[in-house]
Amino acid sequence: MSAIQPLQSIATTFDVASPFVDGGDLGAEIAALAIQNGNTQRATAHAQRAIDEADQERADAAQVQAIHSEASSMRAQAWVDGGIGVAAAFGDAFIPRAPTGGPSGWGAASTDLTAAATKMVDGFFAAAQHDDEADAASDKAAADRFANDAKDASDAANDATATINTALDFARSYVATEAQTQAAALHRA
Amino acid sequence: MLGAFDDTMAELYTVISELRQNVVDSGNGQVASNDAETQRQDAAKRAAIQQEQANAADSGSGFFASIGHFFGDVASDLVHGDVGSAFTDAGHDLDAAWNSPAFWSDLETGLRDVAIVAAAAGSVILTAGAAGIVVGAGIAAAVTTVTVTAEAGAALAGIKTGEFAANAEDASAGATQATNRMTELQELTTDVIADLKDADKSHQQSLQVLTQAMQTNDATIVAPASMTVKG
Repeated sequence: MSAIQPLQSIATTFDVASPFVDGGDLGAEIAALAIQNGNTQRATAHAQRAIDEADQERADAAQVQAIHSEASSMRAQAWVDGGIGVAAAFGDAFIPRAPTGGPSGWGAASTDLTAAATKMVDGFFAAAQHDDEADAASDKAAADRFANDAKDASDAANDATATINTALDFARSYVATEAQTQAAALHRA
Repeated sequence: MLGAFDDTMAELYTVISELRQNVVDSGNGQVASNDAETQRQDAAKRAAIQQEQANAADSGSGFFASIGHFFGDVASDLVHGDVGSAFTDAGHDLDAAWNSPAFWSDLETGLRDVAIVAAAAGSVILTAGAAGIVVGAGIAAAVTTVTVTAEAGAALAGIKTGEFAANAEDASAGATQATNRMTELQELTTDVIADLKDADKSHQQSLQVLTQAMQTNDATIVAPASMTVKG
């Protein structure tokens, strides 16, 4: 009795260059293409996940920067308000009073001017701080959105892995069935 | 020839096994590194929250409590004849008051109230002067001085309270940063574990396939030999 002949259909040759499966075996080609497709999907999903996570990191950093910016604005407002308050107090002290003892025209103007300046500065800083708060909220929302996108990409990678595993199961089953068929044929011969 | 095939498969098996172990070790290392970083960020977050609370407007001793502590400590030390401790405690109490948001908030509010009262007193003096009631120039000057000093003092105290509010906001930013970083690290760890599971499963399957290939190869050696012996 002669030695068992090697099973030709199992000998799928993988090549880096396309096509990477020898022609002539449809089942093996389908399995290989499914695996290749799954690999590509998984690589794409991983790349997308990395991009989303990087975007999330940038949005998080922007949120923190916006809060720091608001703090900086609050600090500046404190100093400007303090400066105006001290200037107003010294204006009261050094601007000569009217002969009646009441505030002179310059004194009244100084009081009005400092009050208006305080309101204007407070309004300016409050607007800037609200802008910073809005930026922080917007950046936080963007970060959450990128986090969700990254999770979606992870899910897509998991789906691709499941596809690959299914293709591998199919390939194993296909090869085993084919081998059994050929062995049976050989046995009958 | 078939023995050479087994040798090659065995070598491949060893390489894949080592690769599998390396991937697992690398993944474990990344997870451990992320855990350590998470713990550092957690500590940073706690510190930031503490700093935020310390800079809150109602944090620390108020104006009268601070003054009370100051005089109480100094008086107690002096009564016990401990002059050195009196200086030490005084310095400590002054430092605590300087760094107490509640102290400066109370001081600002108090000085603004004083300025309002003094300004009202100044108006009364003006009204009295207009009505022909003579008020001493010294009193009018004193009222003006008190008004100006209180206004300026309130403005300066306002700078300090504003600084505390800004510091609290900065600390809030620090806490947010630490929280965000911990979330990112948690996601990274999840990614690493998922990728590690995939890679490990893939390597495991490769090893199973190699084992099957070697078993099949062995069977192809044994079966013909057996058939030849029988034949």
